[in-house]
Amino acid sequence: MRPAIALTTVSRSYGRGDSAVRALGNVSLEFPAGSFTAIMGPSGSGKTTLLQCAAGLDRPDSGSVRVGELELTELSEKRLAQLRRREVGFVFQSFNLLPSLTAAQNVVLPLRLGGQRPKRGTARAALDRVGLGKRARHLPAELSGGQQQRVAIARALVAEPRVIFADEPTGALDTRSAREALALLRSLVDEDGRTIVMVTHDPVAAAVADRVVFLADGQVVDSMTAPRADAVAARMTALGA
Amino acid sequence: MLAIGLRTLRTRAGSFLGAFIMLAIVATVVASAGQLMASALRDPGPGRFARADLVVRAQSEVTLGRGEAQEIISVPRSARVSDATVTKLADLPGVERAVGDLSVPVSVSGRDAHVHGWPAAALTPYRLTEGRAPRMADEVVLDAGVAHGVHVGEAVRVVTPAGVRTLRMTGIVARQPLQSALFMTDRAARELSGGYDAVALTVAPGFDAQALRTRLGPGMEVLPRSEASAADAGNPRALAQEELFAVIGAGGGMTIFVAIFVVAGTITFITDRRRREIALLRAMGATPGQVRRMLLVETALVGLLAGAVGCGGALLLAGTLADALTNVGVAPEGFTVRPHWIAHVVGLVAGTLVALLASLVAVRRGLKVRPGEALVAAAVPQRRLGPVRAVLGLLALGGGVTLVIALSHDATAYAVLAALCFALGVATLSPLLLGHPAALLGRLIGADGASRFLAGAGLATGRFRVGAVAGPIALVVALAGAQVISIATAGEAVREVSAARVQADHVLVASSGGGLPPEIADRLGATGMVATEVFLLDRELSNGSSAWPAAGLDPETLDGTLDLDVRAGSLTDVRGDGIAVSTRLAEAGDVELGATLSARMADAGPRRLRVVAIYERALGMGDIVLPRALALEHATAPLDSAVFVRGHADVEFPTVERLTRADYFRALDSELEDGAQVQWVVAALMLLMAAMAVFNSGAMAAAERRPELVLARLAGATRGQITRAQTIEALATTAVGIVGGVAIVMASLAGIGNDAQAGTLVVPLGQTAFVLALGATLGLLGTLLPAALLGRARLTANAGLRE
Repeated sequence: MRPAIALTTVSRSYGRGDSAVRALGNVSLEFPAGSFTAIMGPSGSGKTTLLQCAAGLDRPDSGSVRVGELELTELSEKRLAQLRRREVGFVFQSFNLLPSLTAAQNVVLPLRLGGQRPKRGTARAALDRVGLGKRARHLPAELSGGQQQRVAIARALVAEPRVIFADEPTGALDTRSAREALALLRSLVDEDGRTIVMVTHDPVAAAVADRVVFLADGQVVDSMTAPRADAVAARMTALGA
Repeated sequence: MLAIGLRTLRTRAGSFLGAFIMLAIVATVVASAGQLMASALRDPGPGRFARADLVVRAQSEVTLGRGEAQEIISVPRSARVSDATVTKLADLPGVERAVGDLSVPVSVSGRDAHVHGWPAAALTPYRLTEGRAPRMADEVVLDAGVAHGVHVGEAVRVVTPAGVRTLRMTGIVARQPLQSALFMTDRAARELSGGYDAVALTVAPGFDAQALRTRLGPGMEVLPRSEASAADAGNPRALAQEELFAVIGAGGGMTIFVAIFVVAGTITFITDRRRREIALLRAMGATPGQVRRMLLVETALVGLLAGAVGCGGALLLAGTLADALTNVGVAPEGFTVRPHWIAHVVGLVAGTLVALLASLVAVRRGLKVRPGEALVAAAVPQRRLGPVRAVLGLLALGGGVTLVIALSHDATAYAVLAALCFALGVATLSPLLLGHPAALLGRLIGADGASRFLAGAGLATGRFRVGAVAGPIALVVALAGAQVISIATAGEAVREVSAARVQADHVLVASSGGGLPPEIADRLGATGMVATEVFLLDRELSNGSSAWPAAGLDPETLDGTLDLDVRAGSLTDVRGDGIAVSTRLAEAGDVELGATLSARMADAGPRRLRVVAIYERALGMGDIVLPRALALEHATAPLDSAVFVRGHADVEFPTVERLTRADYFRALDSELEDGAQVQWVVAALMLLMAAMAVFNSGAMAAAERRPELVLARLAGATRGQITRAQTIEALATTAVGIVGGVAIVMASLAGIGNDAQAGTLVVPLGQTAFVLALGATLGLLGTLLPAALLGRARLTANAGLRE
């Protein structure tokens, strides 16, 4: 079966001249459809850059990124934006929501950006799924961190994307909210068959995934299927994180 | 997408407020200027000629320059029309009646008025309410306003250009708005005037005005009734529109320049603070085009709203502005604003356009936001001076240098414009030109002590922030400083030259501010001076788009009253068509003794003039000396503006004010101050914008710096240490701004040595100190006030994540 996402010899550096930092060096990775992958590694190992390149948020200096049939490195900014609307959903660590829009408006934002007029109940259904049906009219400032994160997950669902990218989705949450958010993500893979790529620091979060990929200094150094939290933690300690 | 922008606008109303207020001020200024111009341009209306169909007068337009630089100037009063012309017009087929009209400036019991011939009364019409028409040369009819307190049959003393006349009032007519009128018999009035100003025609239906124009040729003008009042020399509205336009245009144009610059800074700042929001939208699938549209629509809406507010403001303000312009003598007496819709359109467009132009930089920066930035917690944009900004800044500086070098012969006049160019350039490049010195200052003071350490670090890393505040401070100091020094320098030069020129023991002037009948100077054998103007048609001599100021003098009376410091030729040859010119004019146009100049007089009458003398002391008098008779013949009002008397002046004459030499110079001073006021009216708007910019960028800088200071407090800094650090930063920023402003002033006045009109550079101590104090106060208030207000906010507010 064709992987949902395939990265082939992707390199990305930041800065110029002497101050250039190599964030990714010749990384090749595949994310099978319907899988839940966690990406781990010490700070500065290139996790976030990998995610950005895979999601079409950033362009690699060289190499190829395919999402489904599409070669992202060949797409224009406009086509990339359209791809993000339809094929891809995002959940971030913080500042997930536009402060000026209500929860419901934030949820349907990708549809609105695509020029669609969302059907009645679309936002409500997505919010119900994350248990926030009653908070549709609240502004982000009126929601707790865990609730905001769940609104973000609802938004990642609304366009029914094949892939969801999550960057430290539990980083700013307390233990209980984190557990709820992770359970939600897990159910998206198990029940809806979506593909999730999640960057995290947290071995407990990584243990929810099917597979953990370890990065160090811009290289894939290891991977682990059916991960357990203690084994992940031990591997991370070995990497010096 | 539009809805998202609108919602953003609503939640971000606070940050847009600064931009909004400034845009509203610009729109108010532009819409007011629009109202004033529309009122001035409006068809002047029939005025005193409501009952005439057409009005014929001698050509009133002077064309200066050729091609693109061509300017058409309309003189207030054209040349006289002869009796024969009136008869010829009356005999034309289709003309029912032709009435010669004239206006002679007179003074009745201290009030300025105009004498007309009685047949012209029917043109308005002025109707008798009491008594009868004048029949004898010593009879007069007054309008009810002038006649106030005088009864029919009583004597009235009228000061005419031909002397004081005692006339008997035979009747009273109802008064008309705007002007005060006296009527004498046509013959008596014509004797005072020397001819008609215009001919009013009543014509049969179907009369072909165009055919009349063709028939009369280019020497005459035929005005329809809607423009007829332009031919009324007694109508104050017929006065110089050119100066009004120049003042409004210069003020409005420079204000818009400053506004675009200042608003651009604000909007760029707002956009920078929204990077994460933009990044999030991009991550959610917004295309760059959508982001651009959102940013443009937002600013356009703010601009449109500000434009609407400005139009309202203009309706309230235009009247005050018109009064101010009238007070300083730019607008004619009785000038009123009649609101016109076009000015509203102009105001709305100006608000929107300035907002859009100002947002161009911001949009460019907004489009550079990478969608990936939404993933990073604290996305602090690396600031570098972009190539566009660098080029714009260098262009502005280059413009300033060009002005200083190319126009150094007129350095005082262009000093403020040069300062504006330099200041905009410096402010555009402020992170470089002001930020680096501030950073250096920060390193010097940051050596020891926690507050000094904090302040030093803040200055060293915040070059853009510091530059954004110091730039407008430099702008204020530069504009006000250049203005103060150039006005003082030009004024002192006029004073010096006048003191050397005027040797008379006494000077007679009109107490009403008008002029004196030529008869007074003739009777005293004194020097009567007619202030008038001459248009020189040669391209090199056109004096921009203005006439040359000129003085009509009798050369044989000058001994002991005026010393013009003749350099070549002799003033005694100034008679007939012989004139003298100033050394400045001679040098500007390479004019030599004996040259013949093609000229138009103040009434647009053509004349060839021969240069017979060249003199030095022109400032405050005029660059051309005409024979007095020639000046009187063509002047708008045939009066002496001043009479210079050697020895004792024994004169008994109403309306005459006798000044000693010292008094005369004092009066000259106050006249110079009036002139300076006009320039301050123009500068005030720019200064207001620049001052607003100081506060605005001060507030923005405080908001940007605040999270760092909150972090410093969390790390254990005391409130006092933070306050001291902020104070040191404010002092350093203000100092850099003021020094920058002073440097700009010096640069913009660098060419003053080449300005023949300038003399020595004068730096008025009091005013200069005031400008510096103004810069310091604005700078410190603008930086510390927002910091103090923000400082009250809770310390626990999240330091990094929220904006």
